[in-house]
Amino acid sequence: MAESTGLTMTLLASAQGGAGLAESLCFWVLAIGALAGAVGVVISKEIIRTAMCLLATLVAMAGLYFLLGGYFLGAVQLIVYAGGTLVLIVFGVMLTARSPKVSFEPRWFEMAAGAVICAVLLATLLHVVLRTTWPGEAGDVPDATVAAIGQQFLGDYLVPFEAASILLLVVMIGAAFLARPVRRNRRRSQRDA
Amino acid sequence: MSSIWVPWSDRRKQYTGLRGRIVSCATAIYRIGAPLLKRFAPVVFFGTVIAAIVAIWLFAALVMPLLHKAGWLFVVRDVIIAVAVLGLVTVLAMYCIWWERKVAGRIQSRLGPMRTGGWHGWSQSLADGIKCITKEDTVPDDADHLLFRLAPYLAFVPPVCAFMALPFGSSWVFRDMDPGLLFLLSLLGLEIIGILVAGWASASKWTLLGAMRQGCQVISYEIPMGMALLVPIMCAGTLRLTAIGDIQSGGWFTWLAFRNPFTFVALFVYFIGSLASCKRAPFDLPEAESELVGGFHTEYSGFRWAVFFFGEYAAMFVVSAITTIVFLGAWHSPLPAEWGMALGEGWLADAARGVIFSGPLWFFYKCTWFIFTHMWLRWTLPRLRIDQVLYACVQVLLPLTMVLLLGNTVWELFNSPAHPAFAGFSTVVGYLMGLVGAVLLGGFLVIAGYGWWNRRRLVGRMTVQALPGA
Amino acid sequence: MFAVTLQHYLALGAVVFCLGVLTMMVKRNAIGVLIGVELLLNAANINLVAFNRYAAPGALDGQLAAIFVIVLAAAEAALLIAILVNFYNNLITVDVDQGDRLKG
Repeated sequence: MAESTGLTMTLLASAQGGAGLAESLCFWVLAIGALAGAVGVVISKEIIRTAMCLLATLVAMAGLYFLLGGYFLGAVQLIVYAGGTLVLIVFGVMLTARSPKVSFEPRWFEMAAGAVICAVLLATLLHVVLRTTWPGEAGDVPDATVAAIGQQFLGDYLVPFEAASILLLVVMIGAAFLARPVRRNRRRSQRDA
Repeated sequence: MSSIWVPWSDRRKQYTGLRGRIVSCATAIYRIGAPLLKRFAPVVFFGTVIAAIVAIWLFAALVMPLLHKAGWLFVVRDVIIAVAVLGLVTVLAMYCIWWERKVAGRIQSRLGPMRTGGWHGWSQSLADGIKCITKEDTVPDDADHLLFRLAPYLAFVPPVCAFMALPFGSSWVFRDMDPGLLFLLSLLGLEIIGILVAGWASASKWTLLGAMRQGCQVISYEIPMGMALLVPIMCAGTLRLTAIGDIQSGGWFTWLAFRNPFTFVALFVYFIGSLASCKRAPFDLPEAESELVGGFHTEYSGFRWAVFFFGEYAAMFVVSAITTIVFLGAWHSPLPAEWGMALGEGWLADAARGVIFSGPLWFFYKCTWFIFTHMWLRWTLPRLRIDQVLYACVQVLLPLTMVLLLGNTVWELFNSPAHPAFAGFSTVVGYLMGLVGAVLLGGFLVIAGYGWWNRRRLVGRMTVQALPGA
Repeated sequence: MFAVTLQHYLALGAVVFCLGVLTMMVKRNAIGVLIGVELLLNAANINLVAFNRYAAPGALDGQLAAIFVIVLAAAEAALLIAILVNFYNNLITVDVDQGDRLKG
């Protein structure tokens, strides 16, 4: 049962029999999951259902990162995005909801205009993607061990790493300040009711 | 719902169609099987254990060689292993539920379940499971139906997926990932969403309060937990769980908990964080029965409630497994593994090595010891208020973990051949910490032994009396 | 369609991107707009990682860039929720159509 990830990915990436089938099957399942989640985000009427569809998309994307050989990235996506940002979004929903049944529906011409614009954008992007011959050939899965990523962070990418940490500090202080509880109508004593 | 009073017998929901057939099948099986099980209970139990061992041996002997012939068979193998993991989690959860009630009983000077199934109520959780399945399936009218039904599974699936990356032994791992520990932490963080959605979808202010408290508590405690895990990881130098286990194979004083004082304190910090993460007392405010009725699972009855608790016990096992692997030597016994080489070759020597020196049995034993400690603390300590919980996290544990990180960095920096004096000092301290660990364990055994030896005198007679009317 | 090529991943990224833009345009709940932003960032991430795997397999730049994008997305979501809480405190609603206090 000792299957190192390298062996698995070699099995998946090589042209052995049905091994490439497994990779494409995983891709299609995850891609359809991500698309279903994204479509659910657009068409769901209640905000908490939108958040759950986003969860489906995020988990499917994490699966796609695992498939592409980014194991560390997939784990980071699950921790930060699904376990952090999404929880923040759900907390935001809970703090700002009047009632679970109140939802804001867009008017029909807004939906139509949005759909037209996005269809045009999608057509352009797909045209570019499908007609271009992309350089480079698919090699093996990159050797994205945690050690290699760590060395890059402290080597080539040191400045963005430090800048990101300062940014996170600033954002933390700013968000804590912005969301501080503001007391209105403070009663100085029990007499001024 | 009509406002005219209708007798309950007319309002009682009758299951029809497919559901009705399933319920009547289950009831028939229960009527036939329960007396049989009760009569032949020991045979069934040991038979199941032996059958499981034989099945695993057959699987390893027959299916694994086939993999080399047809590559696509690994999908079948993986599906079988996934189903087996699901079965393992279910059995583990049922065992933990029974064990919790026995531990609770003993701590409260009573015996716990004694009747169901005969010997010490061993089939209590089985009976609970059957009861849960046959209960009426209530969904509140105002609840978001889809999310209400989805939420228990959102809370149950991540800990079960975590079993994929858990190594039970040096080569007993389903997927040995390079960032394995990070993967486990990410899955434990996904559990929050299930509970938040459960609290929201129940359309009740008490469940919402319970869910928000739980989210707040679990997220806050993820920080000291992660940082406390960083301390031994810094010593180990890798996130790969099998590598972390292999480092600690030299006897109990090479375990990462006893390497320097900072990792020793980190063990306790991580354990406290894991109590909060699993919502176990003293941090069980989200389930506070005396305040919030049931917290986030108030509106859940029957099988959905059972799924929540399967998820909770699975998460307890995963968290205990992380503690064991990272701090307490994973699957190694306190004896150094190289002494096992003296046993020789052959499958008997291998089996003996597995039992005495390093093997999945030791891993299970240590995990269950931590689960027992979870239960022990639950029934001993009173519950903390939410402000005390957050105070403990942010004002006590967080600065403590930062100090531990700093101290451990400095220690490990100087603990190299370039500084021979410090290296010698740190080796001595390592052995001293190991001695501390042995003394603590010895003290625990002595006190437990004294309590067990004098149990009659300390507690009094606990008899199983006939119920009135029996 | 046995082999999954770069174009599959890029097409998926394009579709998710457009759905994210649609969400941002159409949702009236401010949190819906935030969710649309997260979809955009995820689509960009899948593009980065797919390029890393197919066009530059030896390096890790795509995955590192994706990690930075995830970090920045989390920071931005935190700030957005903080702003949203203020918006809600002042206007008792999260409908973005009601956010017209600065209108001349």
